[in-house]
Amino acid sequence: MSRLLPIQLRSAIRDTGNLLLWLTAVLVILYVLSGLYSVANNEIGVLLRFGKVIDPNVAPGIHYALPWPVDRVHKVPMPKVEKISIADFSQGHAPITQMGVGSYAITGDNNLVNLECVIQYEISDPEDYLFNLEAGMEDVEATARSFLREMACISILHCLGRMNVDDVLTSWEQIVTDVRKNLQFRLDDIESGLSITFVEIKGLQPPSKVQRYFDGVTSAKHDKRRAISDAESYRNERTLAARGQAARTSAAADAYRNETVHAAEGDARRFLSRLSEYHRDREGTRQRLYLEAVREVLGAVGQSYVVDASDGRQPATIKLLQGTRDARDR
Amino acid sequence: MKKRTKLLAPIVLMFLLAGGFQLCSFTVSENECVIVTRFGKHVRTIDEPGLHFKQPGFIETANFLDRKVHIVKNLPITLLLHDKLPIIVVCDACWRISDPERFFQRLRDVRNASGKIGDMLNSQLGSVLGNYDLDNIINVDEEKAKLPEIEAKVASKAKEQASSEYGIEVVQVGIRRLAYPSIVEQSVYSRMRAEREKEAKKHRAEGAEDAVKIQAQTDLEVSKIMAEAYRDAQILKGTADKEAMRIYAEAHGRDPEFYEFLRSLDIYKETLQKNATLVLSTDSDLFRYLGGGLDGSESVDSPETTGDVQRGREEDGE
Repeated sequence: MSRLLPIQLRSAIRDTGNLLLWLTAVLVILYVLSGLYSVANNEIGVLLRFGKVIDPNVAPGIHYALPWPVDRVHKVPMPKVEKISIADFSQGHAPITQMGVGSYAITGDNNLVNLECVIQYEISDPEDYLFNLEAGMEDVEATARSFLREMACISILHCLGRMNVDDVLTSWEQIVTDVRKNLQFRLDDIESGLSITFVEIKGLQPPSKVQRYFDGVTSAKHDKRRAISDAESYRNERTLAARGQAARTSAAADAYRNETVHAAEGDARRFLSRLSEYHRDREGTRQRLYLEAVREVLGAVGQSYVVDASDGRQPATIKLLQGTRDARDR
Repeated sequence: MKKRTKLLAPIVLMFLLAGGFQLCSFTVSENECVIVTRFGKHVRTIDEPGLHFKQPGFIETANFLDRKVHIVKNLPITLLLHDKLPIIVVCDACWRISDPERFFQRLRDVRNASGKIGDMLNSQLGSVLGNYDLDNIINVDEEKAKLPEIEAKVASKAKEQASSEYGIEVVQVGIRRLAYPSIVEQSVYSRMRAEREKEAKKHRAEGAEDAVKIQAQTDLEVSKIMAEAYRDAQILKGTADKEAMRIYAEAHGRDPEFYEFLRSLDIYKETLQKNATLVLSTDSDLFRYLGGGLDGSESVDSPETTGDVQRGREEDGE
């Protein structure tokens, strides 16, 4: 063969052969080196050999794995907190189909409410997260979110279906706890590898069509409280006034007692003083007191008539002692 | 010359081997299983992840089946409840392949499964929900809210059917949405409105009731306070009067006659004032010196005196 070919061609073939060998060697080296990979700090690697998990927990750092097609590495961000907003039950949400499924949840006492919430989750088991769920989505994260969304809706529906509307609108804490518990249970049931870290209610209110009637109840509650507080202030006012009045009455009675007893004591002393004098000269004192009294009385009285009673006829003669003018007027 | 051929030969051989390897081997990844068929006929099932071999492509085929958990998102359906109330329900299910051979035999591909399971689920749901009233689905009383029970029933029926027919395990069934057709929805709204109005009225009435109660209680308390105060005051005054009387009695008891005399004089002074007119008889003690001369021996008789003055007062022109 070599004898038939020109010398140039022969050397060209030899060179190509050498080049090919070199190229192959470089490719082999590159191929072997392609097994190097790194896992970042916030990631966890899952190492697969021919599709089988051989290390579900590769720590961050630089590692070596056998090159394709033997080994493969999946990197899962951990711990990474993700949020998903559940707006299926809120007013602005588009109906599911032309069948027009209203965007609301039904409460246990058959009232309708709108709810919007945010659910925070993280990946708790990278292996389950990677290999357990399938929702026809383009990547693992979208798949997980798809599951999470459906299950969150189920949990919310179950939770609200057991509560009455007043509790739903007021005890958000309970809803959050219940939804979280139920949702976690469902996620664990399918071994999703997801863990709920937080459920937050963004909005929870009656549908706008009936909102004002709910507001009406709130204002009625305010009215009730006001009526009671008015009555209480009436009570305070009246009771205090009555206590004041009672205190006054009692003080007046006290004053009366002082007055009466002291007056009695004074009168008694005076009487006893006079009595002791009187005992020394009964007649004289009596006479003097009488005359003094008569003088005083006659001095004070407007008119006095003295009637002579000697003939026993009355009135016989009236002698005016004083106050004539008054008598004429009369 | 030979050397070159010798060097090139292994490279070619390597590529050939790699090609053959590619044709005869396959990898099964985690949560996957493979049905190997020879000319369309089932030969064996491989359920273990890793590297596996088969006869070359055109003789034996590897059919990959995904064993992950799949979710069926059903479309809403309208169902009649036991109490003839129409309700729109959306029911989802999670499933996975439990019997790969049967699954492969019946459905061949995962894509065919979702529709089948969805239909099956909806028909089970229809038959289960037909036995329940709305009150049994949603209820404030946890005992009567049988949504979990309904789900469990649908799940168990679906499980049975799916595993026997398709080799599918239904992992979980969940009712995702419940809603009313628009006509029913309107009546629900008006009922909600009526309930709220009733509630508002109730609160106002309660407020009025409580207020009246408090006021009545207040009035009672006030009258009690006042009455007690009056009673205590009267008792006090009574004691005071008693005390005064005792003092007076004690003093006057020494000489009642003198007291009467003094008291009468005081009364004259107090009662006979400026606007009184007095008619006096010359008989009276005062004038005994006016008519009949001095007679100091005549005794002064107080009752008589009193009588005279009193008479005078009676004749008073008032």
